[in-house]
Amino acid sequence: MSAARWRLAATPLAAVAAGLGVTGLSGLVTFGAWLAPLAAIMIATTTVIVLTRLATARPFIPTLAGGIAAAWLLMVAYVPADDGGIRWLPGPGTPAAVATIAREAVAYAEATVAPATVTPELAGAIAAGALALMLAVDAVAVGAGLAATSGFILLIPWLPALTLERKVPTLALAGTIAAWLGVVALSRRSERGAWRARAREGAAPAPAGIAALAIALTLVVGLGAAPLAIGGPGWGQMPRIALPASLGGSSRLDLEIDLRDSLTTRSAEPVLAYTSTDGRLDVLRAYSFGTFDGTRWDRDPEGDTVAANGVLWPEALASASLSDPGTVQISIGNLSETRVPVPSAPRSLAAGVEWRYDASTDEVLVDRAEGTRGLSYTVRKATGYTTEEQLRASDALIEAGGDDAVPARYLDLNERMDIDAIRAIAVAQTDGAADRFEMALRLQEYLRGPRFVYDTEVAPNGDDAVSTFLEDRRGYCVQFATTMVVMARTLGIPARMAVGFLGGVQDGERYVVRGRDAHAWPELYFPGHGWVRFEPTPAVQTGARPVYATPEVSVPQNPLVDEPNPRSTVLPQQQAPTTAPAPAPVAAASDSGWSPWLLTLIPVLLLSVAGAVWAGRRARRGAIQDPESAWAFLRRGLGARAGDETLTPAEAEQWIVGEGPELGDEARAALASLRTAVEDHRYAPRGTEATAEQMSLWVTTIVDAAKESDRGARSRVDA
Amino acid sequence: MTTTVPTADQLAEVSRLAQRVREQLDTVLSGLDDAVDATLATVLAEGHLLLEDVPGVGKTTLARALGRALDATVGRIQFTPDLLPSDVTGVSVFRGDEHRFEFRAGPVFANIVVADEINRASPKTQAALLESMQERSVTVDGETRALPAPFLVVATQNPIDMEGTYPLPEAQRDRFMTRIAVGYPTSRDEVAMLDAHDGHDPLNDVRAVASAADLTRAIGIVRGIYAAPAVKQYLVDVVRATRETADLRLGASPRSSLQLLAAAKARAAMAGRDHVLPDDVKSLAVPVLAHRVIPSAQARAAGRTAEVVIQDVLSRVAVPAARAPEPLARG
Repeated sequence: MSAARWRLAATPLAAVAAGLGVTGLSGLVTFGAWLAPLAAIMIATTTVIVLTRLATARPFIPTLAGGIAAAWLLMVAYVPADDGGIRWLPGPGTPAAVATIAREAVAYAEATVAPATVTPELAGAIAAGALALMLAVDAVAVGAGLAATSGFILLIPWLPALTLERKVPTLALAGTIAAWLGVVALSRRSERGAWRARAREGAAPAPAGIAALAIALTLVVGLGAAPLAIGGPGWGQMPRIALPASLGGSSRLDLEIDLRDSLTTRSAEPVLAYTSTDGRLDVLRAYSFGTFDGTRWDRDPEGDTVAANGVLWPEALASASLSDPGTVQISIGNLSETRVPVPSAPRSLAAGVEWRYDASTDEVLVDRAEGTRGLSYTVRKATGYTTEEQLRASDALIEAGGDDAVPARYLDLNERMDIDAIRAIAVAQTDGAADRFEMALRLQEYLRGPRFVYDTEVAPNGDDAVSTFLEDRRGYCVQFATTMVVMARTLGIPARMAVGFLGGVQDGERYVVRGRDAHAWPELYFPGHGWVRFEPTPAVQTGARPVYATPEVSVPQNPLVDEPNPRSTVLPQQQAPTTAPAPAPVAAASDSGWSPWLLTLIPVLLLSVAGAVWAGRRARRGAIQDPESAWAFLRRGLGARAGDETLTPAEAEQWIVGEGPELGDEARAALASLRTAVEDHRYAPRGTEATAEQMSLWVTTIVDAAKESDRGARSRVDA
Repeated sequence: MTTTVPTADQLAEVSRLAQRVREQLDTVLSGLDDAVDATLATVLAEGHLLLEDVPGVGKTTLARALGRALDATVGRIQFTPDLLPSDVTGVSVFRGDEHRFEFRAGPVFANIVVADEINRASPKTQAALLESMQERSVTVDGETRALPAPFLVVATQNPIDMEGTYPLPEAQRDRFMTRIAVGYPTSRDEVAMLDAHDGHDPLNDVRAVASAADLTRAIGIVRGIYAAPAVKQYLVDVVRATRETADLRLGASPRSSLQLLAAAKARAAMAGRDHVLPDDVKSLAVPVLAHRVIPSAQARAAGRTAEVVIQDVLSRVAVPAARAPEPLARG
C-alpha cells in the first residue's frame, strides 16, 4: 500500500484544476443545474482514480480505471436508454445513441448564440470534454509525472475565454493555477534527488519521450478537441460585433452604415446591462433606417413625436393582450445615443428624464446632452406579442390597403440597384408562399441558409452592394439585413432596417450587453400588427430565430439534422406551434466540419496514446532486460552507491533500506524480490525465474516509492 | 565427492540443525551471534576452531557448550607446559596379565576436542595435536589409528599474559579454519549472563540436539553447496588481494581459499541456500583469513590489525556481476 503519496495528493488537485476549467466556458454557456451531475461525475471519477492509486503503483492504470468509470457514469447520466429510462449498461444501440447526442449537441451549439442555455445534449458534450480533459491532465501530471506540462492541457478550456471574451472568472482561473502549481510542487518535491541522479546518468529517455508525446498530444487536443468539446465549429466565431460599434472613448453606435465597409471594431466594453422578467431579450432596438441608396443607409427623418406619456407603440399594440406584461430594467453605461434602446413590443417606459416617442420610426428620443449615457429606466413590454397567427391574419388587411399606413419610403428601391435581378431571386425563393408571413420566412431562411457565410470582411466594390452580396454571399448583419429589406421591398412588402443590440450575455441575474453585440436587422410591416423583426443573419452570430419566425423544421441549414428532432424543444424559442409549410429546404451543403475532424482526431489520439505507451515500455524494457540491467537501473535511479562495485546485492539492498529513500513495505518487498533475482541470476545453479515484466514491476514499485519519499529527495550520497 | 546440489529438504535439515544448536548455545552465551554463527559454519565445514581472546569472555564455555549441544564424545585437554604428547594422543601400556600392550586412547579420540589454552603447552605437544588435526589420525608406536568422525578441535588461546607460553606459529595457525575473537559482551548481555549464572551453571541446561550422525550428514550436504564461478572468482580475488596489499607481510595461503570456500558453503547451507553468495565470503573473510596473515611493520605501526586490513581489502575488491555458465534448462 505504498502508492506514491504525492500522487494521492496530486490526483484530486489535478482534478480540481481541470474541473475549474469548466468555468472558462462561462462566456459561452449559461451555468445552471447541469453543473451538478458533471461535478458529481468528476468527483466519482477522481475517487476511482485515487482508490486505484492506493491499490497499485502503476502510473497509468488508475487513469485508465478513471476513464472507464467516467465513460460509464457519462453514459448513465447523459445517454438515456431507448425507452427513455436510464441506460445502465452499454448495448448495441449505445454508439448510435451517443452519436445522436453528439450531433444534437453540435447542431444546437451551432444554432444558438452565446451564452447558450445548456441542453442535456450540450451538457453531455461538455461533460465528456471536461472528463477527457481531467483524465488527460491526470495521466500527464500524475501518471507521467509531467506536472508542469499538464498546464498546457489545463489551458485549453480557458482559451476561448482568454482569446475571445477577454474576461474570465478570475477566482476560478486563480484556483486552476493554484491547483496546478500545487501539483507541480508535489511532483517537484519527489523529483529532486533520485531522479536527478538517474537523469544524470543518461537513463532518462523515457520521461523525455513521454514529454514529447505529451506535448504533441496537447497540441492535437488543443487545436482539435477544444472547439469540439465546447460544442462545435460555430462557437469560435461567435463573439463578434454585428455592427460598427463604438468609436472609442464613449461608445456610440456607428450610424454611417455603408455596406461596402468591413466590420473592424470589436468592443468588449459593456454598454448596458439589464434585468428582465422574460429572460434574455432578443434585441434592444434603438434606431430605424428607411432609406437605402444601394450602398448606404440613411436614418429616417424625425416624424411627429409625442411627449412622454408612458405609452409606446400605441396603435400597433392596441389589439394585443397585455395581460402578461414583462418588465425590463435597463441601466446604460458608457453609451451615448440619442435614442433609447428598448426591447421589442414595448408598452411603457419609466425613466427619470424627459423623453419623446416617434411613432413613425418607433424610436424613443431622449433630450440630454450626454444622450443615453448613465440612463436607467424600466420598460414594460408585451410578452409574446407577435405570433404566427397574428401575422397571418394581417393578410386580410393587406388586401384592404393596410400598407398605406406606413410611409411610401419603406417601399423605395434605388435605381442603382439591379432591382429586376434581386426581385427574380426573391420571387424564386418565395415561390408558392401563401402569404406575407410565409414570404418573409422564406427570405429569412434563404439568407440563413448555408450558402451565405457570416464574414466581417466584405469586398468594397460597386454601387449595388445587395447584388454584390447575393453573388459573394459573404457579409455581416448589415448585408444580411439590408438584403432582406431590399428583397422584401421588391416583393411589395414595406420594410426597414433597425439598429440596436443583441440580448447580451448573462452575468448572474443580469444580462450584459457589450459593444460587439451591436446588431442590425430587418423589420417587415404587417398591417394591423406593426413592424416585425426577422433574423436573416446566420445563427453563428445571432443565435436562434425569433419565436414567430421559426420554421417548423428546425435548423434547416444544418444538414446533420435531417429530421424533426423531438428533443429540440429545449430550444427555448422554438415552442411556438406553427402550421406554416416548411420553406424549401436548401440543398444539402457540405458537412459543417466536425465529423471529418473527429474522424481524423480519434485515430491521431489513439496513435499518440499507443505511441506513448510503446515508447514508455520500450524505454523501460531497454533498461530492464535481465536482472543485471534491472539492478543497475535501480541502483542508478536510487543513487545507491551506483559506482561502488564492492557492494554485494544484499549490501546494496541494506544500504538502500538504511540510507536511501524511505520505502514502504511493498517497495521493500519488491526490493528484496529483485535482490534475490539478481543473486539467483549471478550465483544460483539454476539462475533466476523472475521475468523481465516482474522485474520491471519491481523497479517501478521501488522507484515510485523512492520518488515520493522525502528522504529520497534529499539523501544524495553518490552526488 | 558429491556434486549434486542439495535439495530444499536437505538444506532445511542443515538450517534446522544449525538453528537448534544455536538455540542451545544462546542459553549459555548471550550476544555472541557472530561468534556462534562462525562457530557453526566451522563445524559444518569440518574445520577447526581457534577461539582467541582475553580470559573470561566465554571461550571455554562456548567450546564446552558446543560439545554438549552435539551429542558426541567430547575430549577436554587443559594445556600446560608439562603436558606431554602422549597425554594428548594416548599411550600404550603393558598388560602384564595378558602379556601385551594395550592402547589407552588419549582425549584426542573424541568427536569434539576442547583444547584449552593451547599456547601454554610446549611446541612438541602442540605439534602432536596439530598433526592429528591435519591427518585426522594418530600414530602411536608405529600404529596409525583413525580419529572418530566428525572430528572437531576447538582450541582456545589467550593473547595476553604471554609469559611462559608458546604462541602458535603462523604455519600452525593455518590449520585452524577460523579464529574467532569472542569479545566482551554488551552491558545488557552481561546482565543476562549474570542472570543465567544465578545459582547454577547454565552449561548443565544445555541439551544435546544433534547426533554425530546428524552432523556427518549435514557436513555431507554442505559439501554439495553450489559455488558459482563468479563467487569463486570473488573469493580468489579477495585472497589474492591479501597477498598484494602492502599492509600485509604475509598474505593468505591457497589453503585459506579452500577453507574460506568451505566455510562460505556452510554459511549458505545454514541460511537454507543451495548456493554461495559473496555475502557469505565477506562475512567469513575475517574469521577465516585474519589469523593467517601477518600485518607489515607499517600497518602495525599505524595500529592496523589484520582484521582491519582484511576489511579494507574487502572494501576494495569488486563483486563480480558476470553471470556464470548459462544454466542448461532455463524456461
